Amino acid sequence: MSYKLPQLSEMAFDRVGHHNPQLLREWQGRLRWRNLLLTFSLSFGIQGLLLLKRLAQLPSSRLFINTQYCLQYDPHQGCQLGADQQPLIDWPLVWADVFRDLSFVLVWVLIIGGIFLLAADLSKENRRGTLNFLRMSPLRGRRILLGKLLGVPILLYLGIAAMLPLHLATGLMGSYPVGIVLAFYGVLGAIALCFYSAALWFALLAEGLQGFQTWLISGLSAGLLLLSWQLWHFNLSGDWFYLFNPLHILADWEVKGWGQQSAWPFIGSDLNGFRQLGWFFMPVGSHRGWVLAFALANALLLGLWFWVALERKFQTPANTALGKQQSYGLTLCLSLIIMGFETQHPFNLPSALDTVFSYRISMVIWAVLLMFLLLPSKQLLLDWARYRHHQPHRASQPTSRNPSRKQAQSSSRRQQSLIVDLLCHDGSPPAFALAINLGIIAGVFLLGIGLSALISPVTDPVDAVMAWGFCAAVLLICSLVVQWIALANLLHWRWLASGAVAAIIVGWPLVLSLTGIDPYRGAMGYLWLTTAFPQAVLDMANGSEIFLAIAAHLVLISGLSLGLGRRCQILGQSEWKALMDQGSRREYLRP
Amino acid sequence: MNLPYGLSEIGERGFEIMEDGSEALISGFMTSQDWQPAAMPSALPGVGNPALSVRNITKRFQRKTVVNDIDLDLFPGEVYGLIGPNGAGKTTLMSMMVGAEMPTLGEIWIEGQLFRQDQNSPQLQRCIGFLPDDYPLYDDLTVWQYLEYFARLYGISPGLRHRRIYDILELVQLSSKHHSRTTELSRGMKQRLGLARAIIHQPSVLVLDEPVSGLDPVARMEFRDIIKALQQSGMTILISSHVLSDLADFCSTIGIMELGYLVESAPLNELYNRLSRRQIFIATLGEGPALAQALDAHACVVSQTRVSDREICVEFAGDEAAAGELLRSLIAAGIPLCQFNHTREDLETIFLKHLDHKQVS
Repeated sequence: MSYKLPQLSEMAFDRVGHHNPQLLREWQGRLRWRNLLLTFSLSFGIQGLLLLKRLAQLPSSRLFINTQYCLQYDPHQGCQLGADQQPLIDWPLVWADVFRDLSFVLVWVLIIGGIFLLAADLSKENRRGTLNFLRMSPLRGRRILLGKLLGVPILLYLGIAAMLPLHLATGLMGSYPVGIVLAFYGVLGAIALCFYSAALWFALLAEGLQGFQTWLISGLSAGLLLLSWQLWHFNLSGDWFYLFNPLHILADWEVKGWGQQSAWPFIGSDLNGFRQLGWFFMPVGSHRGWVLAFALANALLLGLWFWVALERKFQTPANTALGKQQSYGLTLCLSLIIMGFETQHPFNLPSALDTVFSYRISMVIWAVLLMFLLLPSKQLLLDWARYRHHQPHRASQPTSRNPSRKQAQSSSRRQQSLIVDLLCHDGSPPAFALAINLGIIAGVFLLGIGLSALISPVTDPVDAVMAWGFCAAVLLICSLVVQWIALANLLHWRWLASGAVAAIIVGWPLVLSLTGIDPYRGAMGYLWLTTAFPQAVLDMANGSEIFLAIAAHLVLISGLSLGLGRRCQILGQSEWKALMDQGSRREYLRP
Repeated sequence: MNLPYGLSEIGERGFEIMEDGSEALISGFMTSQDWQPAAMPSALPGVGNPALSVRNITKRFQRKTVVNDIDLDLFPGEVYGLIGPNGAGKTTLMSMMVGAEMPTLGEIWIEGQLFRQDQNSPQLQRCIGFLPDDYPLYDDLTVWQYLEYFARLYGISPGLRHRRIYDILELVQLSSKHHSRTTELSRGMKQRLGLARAIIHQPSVLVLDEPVSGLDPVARMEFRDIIKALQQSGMTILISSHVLSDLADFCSTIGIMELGYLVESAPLNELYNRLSRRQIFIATLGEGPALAQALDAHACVVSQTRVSDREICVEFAGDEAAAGELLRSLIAAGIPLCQFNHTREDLETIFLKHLDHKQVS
């Protein structure tokens, strides 16, 4: 049985539907009296339980039990009593703790709950095929996605909205300034938007998982949130995760009980270390304005990238997960963020080789992700190969009376268009775009070392750059191998490609270690130059070994690239021939 | 390879050059800067511009050509029936026509404008209504909410929206169910609701992919009546179905697809005249040989088969007028006829014969 909402709210709904039909559709499907009743009961129930939990810990007439909220406590006399012979209670501390409990619930419910609902909804629509009808409608993808974002978790939003009065009140009574509480809401909203965009994007990407992607993305997000809950300040790129936990935003406020880690439910982060947080030598953690600005900028920037990728994938599902041009911008942002956290303080960089290790690890992970995110589907690559094959016809449009000049012009135009394609076109093999991305990472790496050198002396900068160079070469080889595997007629090529990448990046160094080939000593230590982690051997290797390693990498990359180019050429040729043959066969088939 | 009309004056950029020097658009790799539109498909005398045109359309998928170089025109008010065995490429062709799939080669024109899936063109998207086979509905909405949602998606103004929904519910005979949840509807009702959704924005071209598959005879009949009503309102309809008797009932043109090719496309009458064998069953009260002799004299009689002493089955090469002429000539010859039954092969037989012929080819 369906329950009609009152007339007045229907008018308001009509206005909403006028601006965003998708939003109204989501609301109409969810806002029923039964659902609302359940949501508000749950919300008020949770608030009641949290309140009850803290009120149960108040000191009673038994003066030596539950003393944490005593206004003054003496180990011999117990809680100090008031004029009415009742213990004097530190109410601001009680309310501050209720505020923290509620904040904890807000963060988890809003972020993980929202991610689950959004990913489940979008993957369900994608699986059933109803998403295609939305794509075919004149409404733009952005408005449809916005409608989903605001509409699908509407019950969750309402439940959280019902918590806000108590949350705000306990925050104020717990001595948190109103501006700080509002800032917390702002940062929480921005982080939730970032996570939501990522979840929707992932739900579209992993459609082959048949709904499992909902659990996967929710689990991954919960893992990330948990990780951000348990951080220890190391002056490394991992400190970035501090910014993904909205509760850390409240770390700067000098409120009673803040420094006690036990006051925060399940939190294990080094909260005092958080105050040492820096970014490119800027003391971010020392000033509340900086913390706020950084957390907001970080969440909004990443959210924006995810949103752009989401919109693109939603509008044209055949596209790669990430556009090549987008990847350059995203890589620049990520490498700047991570390098910034790598170079938090000048004393952190005695040796460039050691210090940027975590930057390199992070960037290797990102590059491996890029290999797959930029990889075109086989059909997209075939279309591109066919299009490339037919380019000479276009390039040979009459441009000059001089045939040799014409030939030279046509060849140069073809070269240019190939480079543009490799740089920007979704269908082209991703190795060239990956090389550009690796170059961007190297550029930021040099910037980091350069800035550090301005402040304090840096040792081994050349070795550090070379280490990244060797690592980048291995990553390029991986990308080419992945593309080769993707082109083969294999059923489970994704697993095979992932296995190949793991074997090259992790397996090969492991084999060297297990066979006792030590990078620091031993006759064959130079073999470590062929791995993604050559920094250990760079000090020991001589010039000829390094030269040989560079030559080996170059030969391998060139061989794989040329072979891939030839394979694309053959594919394009056969695709075009098949197209033309079938076109001419039609005439024969006509009655 | 012969290019269809309308592609004779194509600009040099944005097109692939065919082997014979002619050009055709390769979709998917043109930027808007590259794009120079080809000439619009020209009108046929007395019929007007086509409501939807498909030119050289080809779809290759995983190294297999699913749709092969198809040209097709749908003229305003025409009901075009697309038939073919499973896997012939009907659904892929329709998906490309409505913008759900990107063609590998070729172009689609709607109301004289080039339609590209990768370019946002709301006014062209409003010209098309599409109902696929087994279309899933939203379980959490009522019939009214469902139609209202799509009416809003297509930007129908608030003043017009309710009136339109009422009218369409009336047309698809779901007025009494407007407060029911979509899960409460029968399969036939769901299909009618899908049709209502496809026409809520009054498209000029309606594409229906096997809309009656899985429906019982009554539901099929109801659906057929609705399509006839839409036909009368002047809507251009492209419909694919395996129920050929239904198509023969309301289609003005028939296309036969096989292995991705459109192997036949002609008005239904022409198809019957060209491909349908006519038979006349004649019974006399008089002498059989006299009847056979009289039939021999008629030019349109191809062959005779004696069914009994006084009954003959004739394979006839003429049309209805010629059959009338034969009847008159037999009466004039004094043959005492007691039965003259003129029949012709139906669409299903034509299709099966056509299929056999092409497979032999």
